[in-house]
Amino acid sequence: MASMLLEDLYRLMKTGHVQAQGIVDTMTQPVVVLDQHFSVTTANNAFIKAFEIERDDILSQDFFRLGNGQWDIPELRQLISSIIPRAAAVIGFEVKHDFPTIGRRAFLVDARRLVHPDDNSPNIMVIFDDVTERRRHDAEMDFIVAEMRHRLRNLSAVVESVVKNTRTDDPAVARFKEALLGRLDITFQAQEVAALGGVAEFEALLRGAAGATVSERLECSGPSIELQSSKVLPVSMILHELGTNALKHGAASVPGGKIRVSWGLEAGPRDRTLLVCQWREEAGPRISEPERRGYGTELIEGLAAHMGGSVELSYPPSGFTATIKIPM
Amino acid sequence: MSQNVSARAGGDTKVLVVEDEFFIADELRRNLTTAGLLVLGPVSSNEDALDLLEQELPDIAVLDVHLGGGARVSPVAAKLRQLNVPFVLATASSAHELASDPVLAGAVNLGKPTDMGRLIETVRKLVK
Repeated sequence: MASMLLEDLYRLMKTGHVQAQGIVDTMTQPVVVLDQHFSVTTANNAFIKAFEIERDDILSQDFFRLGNGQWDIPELRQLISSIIPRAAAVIGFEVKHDFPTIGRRAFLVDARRLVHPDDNSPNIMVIFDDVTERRRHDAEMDFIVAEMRHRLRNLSAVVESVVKNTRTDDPAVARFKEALLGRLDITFQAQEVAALGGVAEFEALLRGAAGATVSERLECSGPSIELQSSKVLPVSMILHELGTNALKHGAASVPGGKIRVSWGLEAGPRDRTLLVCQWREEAGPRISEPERRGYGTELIEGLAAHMGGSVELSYPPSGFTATIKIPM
Repeated sequence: MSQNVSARAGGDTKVLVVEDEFFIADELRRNLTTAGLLVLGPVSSNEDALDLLEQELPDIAVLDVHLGGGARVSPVAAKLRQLNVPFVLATASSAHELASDPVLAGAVNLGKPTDMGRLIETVRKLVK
């Protein structure tokens, strides 16, 4: 927006000073025009108002000496003086400064050399966008987000601790507790990735979700793929379930067992791109298809279906395999 | 998309469930199915919900409001209003936030976490 104005203004300035003064005065942002010696030739009403000065006090004065040199900010001087030799425009240069009358302010400064057709003495137009409030608001938001993230992490730790401290002597309940803690941990980790507003890299997610012990057995091959935050929880949970099974019954339960995981992108139906991931366990114990469909299997299938994807699980004696397809 | 219909014998009332969090969607599905209702979905996005509505008309819908990636359920709610299908919300969103959306304003919100007993009662009452 500021650059649009700058372009329009630049064109108008070429056609005559009188007209330009009128235009400059209608602008809500402070604007000042300097000659080649940095003396003020034009200042708009917004400039006069924003910096609490008198117009008569500044016209024909050296800009950098105005108001006891309050404008003699090294970055600004550098910016303006470097425009003179080159014809370049500088857009959105941030200047922070303590002004004696108006206090600490942050400005985005646009500056451009103007060449008048009648003479070749260049003028410099400088536009100030006061972003002090915007910056303050951003900083406040950053603080709130950091605080929320901290509380979320704290709550996660408390919930896990409550479960851990709930003692039991019953082995069935102990197994339940272990499974619950594993799933809670994945849920909280995924929430954190989502809270950071980010995407997650597939291999990093795979290694994190499978757990440290299983991760040592993984042989990964596939391109770097970023998953959007809404997919992080379901995908981590699927990988966590596969990792847990491998550790209990599969290739990670015996020395020398390996898990080959390969993945890539494929075109799917309805113009969707699918992430296709193969999980193949090798050199593990001989296995057979479980007699009863456990909750883990139900979970893996349910999670994939909920994302609009699918999974195929198979149990050849040589080792468990899974093919997972997830729309991106 | 027949796999999206969790069939159960004797379930005459069809309930569309739109919820992006798998565990919550699955809990809703299990509770509604156990109560003898036929669940359409659950689906996790507006696109999937609108696709499903093209194929099958529910008697009522249970909607989450925030569907991830900044999406809100408003397009589905608008479609349901147009089709004259009642809906209830199951969302952690505040009453103030809901009031600012004309399509969602005035809808019953059962909140989150959702009391499943109250949900089933409300669904039955709205379908009559």
